Amino acid sequence: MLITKKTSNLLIVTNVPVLSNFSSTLLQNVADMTNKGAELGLNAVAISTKDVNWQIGYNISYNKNTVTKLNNANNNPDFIQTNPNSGIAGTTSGLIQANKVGYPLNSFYVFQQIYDANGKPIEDGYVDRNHDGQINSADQYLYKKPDPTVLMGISSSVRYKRIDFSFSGRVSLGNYNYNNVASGSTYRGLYSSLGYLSNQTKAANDTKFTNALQTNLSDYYIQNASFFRMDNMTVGYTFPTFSNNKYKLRVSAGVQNVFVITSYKGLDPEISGGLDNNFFPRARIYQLGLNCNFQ
Amino acid sequence: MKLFKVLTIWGLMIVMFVTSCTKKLDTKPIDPLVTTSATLFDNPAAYKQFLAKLYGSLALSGQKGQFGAPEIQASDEGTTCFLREYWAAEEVTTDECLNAWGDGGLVEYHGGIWSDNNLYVQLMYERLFINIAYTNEYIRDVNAKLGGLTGSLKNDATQYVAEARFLRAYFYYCAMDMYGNCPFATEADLPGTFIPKQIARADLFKYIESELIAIQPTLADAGANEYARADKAADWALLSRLYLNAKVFTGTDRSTDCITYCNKVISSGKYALHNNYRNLFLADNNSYRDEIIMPIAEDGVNTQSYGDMTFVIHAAVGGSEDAANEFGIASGGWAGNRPTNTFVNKFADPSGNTDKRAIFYTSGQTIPITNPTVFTQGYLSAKFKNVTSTGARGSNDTFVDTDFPLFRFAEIYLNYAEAVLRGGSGGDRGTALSYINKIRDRAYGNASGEITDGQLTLPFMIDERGRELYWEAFRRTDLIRFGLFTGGSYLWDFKGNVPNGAATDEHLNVFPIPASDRLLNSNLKQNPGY
Repeated sequence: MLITKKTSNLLIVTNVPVLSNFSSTLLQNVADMTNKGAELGLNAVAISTKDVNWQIGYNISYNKNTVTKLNNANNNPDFIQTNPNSGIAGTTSGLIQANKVGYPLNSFYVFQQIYDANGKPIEDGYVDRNHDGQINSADQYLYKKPDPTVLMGISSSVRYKRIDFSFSGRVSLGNYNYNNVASGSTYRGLYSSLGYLSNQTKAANDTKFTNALQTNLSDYYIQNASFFRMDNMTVGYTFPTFSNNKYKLRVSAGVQNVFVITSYKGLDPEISGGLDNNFFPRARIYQLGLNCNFQ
Repeated sequence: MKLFKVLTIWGLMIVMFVTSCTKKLDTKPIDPLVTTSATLFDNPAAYKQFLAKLYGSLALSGQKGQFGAPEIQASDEGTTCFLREYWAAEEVTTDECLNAWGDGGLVEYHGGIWSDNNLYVQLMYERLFINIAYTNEYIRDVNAKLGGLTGSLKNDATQYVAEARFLRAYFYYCAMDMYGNCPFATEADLPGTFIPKQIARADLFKYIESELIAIQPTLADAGANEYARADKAADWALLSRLYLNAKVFTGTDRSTDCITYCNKVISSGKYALHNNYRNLFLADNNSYRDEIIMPIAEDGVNTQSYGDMTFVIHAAVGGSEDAANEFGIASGGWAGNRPTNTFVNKFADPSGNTDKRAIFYTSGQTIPITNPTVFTQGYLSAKFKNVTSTGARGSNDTFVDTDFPLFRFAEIYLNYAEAVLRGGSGGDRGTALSYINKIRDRAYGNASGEITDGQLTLPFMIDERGRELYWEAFRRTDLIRFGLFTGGSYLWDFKGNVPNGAATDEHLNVFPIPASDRLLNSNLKQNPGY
């Protein structure tokens, strides 16, 4: 199924020019957005006999959103509206997402990192994208987006005689996170002025950055958060019925959040909004089930 | 018959719509719990309540004490307060303060490496102009109501408007000092309907000057207003400060005008140097109106915020200092702000035994500062405390009672002497020397600190202003006026972001217009060099 959805007058919290209001931000109807996508779902019964039953379900969706209009006082087509809700945690150096016509919603607004010969990022080394001889906010660019381009779901259940097994999992492709945990980790952060050493994540050792100045606006920290997550696996056994089918008994064992395959360097790639700064880990849950039916 | 019915219904509908639209919509809310600008001034007390909000914007972050109803969005609401931002801009950028938090924005401030993305640059800017927007609203609303008022309320409200104009002039003065060419709006610009134009620094200077002169007859006499409210002396003090820095702002020296307004404050006879320097910065300093011309009023119970004097005092306490008993802040210090060693050495004797203004904490502290984040490196400043002159703790363990002296009489003496040295007329060297020696006599407790006429030079003046006014949010402006803020002729620890200090570029004499506002307002041209 193909979809085209146009949304107009999106409500977005925006900054307002100083002096023109009594708050630095307002909730305004300022943007239009288009979502274009396709969806496909398949459900199949692979085998169906007395002893064996195998069902497979698969769905895939593709979605691309684009900001098509962004109101601003100057009617400037190159207008970039930073997202006030995308503050970088742990520092006081600004916002990481922005919107611009022609780009996906809440794209990351970053400096282009320069790397040394060994592929290590150079501290505060950025590409002078507008070639004016200095590095300032005019060199920031929109890079990647937090929303996935492709989502897939896969599920299957197999029954062999009295034993059954099922799983379901998801794939998310094309979604990027701002790894705020890594961007907040520097050697300097080890020292606290209150007189003790602070914990830093191992990310500090990856970059070996000594300060945390503009480094947290580097595209180095915009990391591919595509993943495959096995959400659920269950195995069960149904006992033979007895007493003229009056009682049924089934035992099962299952795991939720079984495993994740990803190249993302943070704790968990699946973060709504793409800001990885205050994430509470998802639990892995083991379940044992006992089902009794009385007729 | 059917057609007739349809026509009737249509007709009725047309009548209903047309009549409902012809009458002007009355937008006053009838809910008694809702107050809008349309009903606000139905209550006569509101004239003063709104004025109190304008004064409160010097210290507070929003519509609710501590935090919870901010006017400016930031991850830490305390950082959006005027005093915290202004203090950081004037002190952390200079020899008087090296912050230990390693907080990106503040490291950039001290190292002279800030950009137009620096959040402190942005929050200071947003705070100044939101405060100006509120003063504009007050002036517009109250001016519109004045004609309908009578008696004492009319007199009071007229004076309130003058005080609101004073505050607006003060905020514009700060904006002109820090950002040069600023966005500009007055009460004539209705909120939400316009994109502010940019005003040239020299034109803004003229506007501030004309406002401060125009409101003089309406302001209360020197020392005659309620505590912490602007009066004629505050107006004169701000004019003397404005003229002293005029060459930086406009290219034209106005030392003579500076002396004129210093003389007005001095000859008012209301002010003198308070006998004890150290008591001026304690929790009961609200009783020293003899020297403090206008403070930012603070109260541990009624003025609660993390960005006012609470910040200035807490951020200075750390190391082995006794936060509860010595500083009156049992909730603890924040281990952030301390002077550089370069500044400490401005005192020939930093022990405080001779020059009593050297209020440093040295126990357990080491010299030099090799790592700014280690707060036990460098001396700590114990100038501001939340204990009274008798040693009693303030009213709250976190939020302090100590007022911030926005204008104090010693500055007037210093302005006078410097303006004389810069060639202003209306004053003379002999008087200038006597004023400076009054300051020195108080500092030393006797005549041993007095200087001679030969020692009264401009290089002496910048150091003496440092010794007398440190941590009172003067330093950046003062160093710029003396040409020492940027360049390599005066270095301090971690200037240019290197331990021994390095030359910095001249463009840092003004802050950049924040990138965030330039995205929204294409009228704004960036300052050179950014």
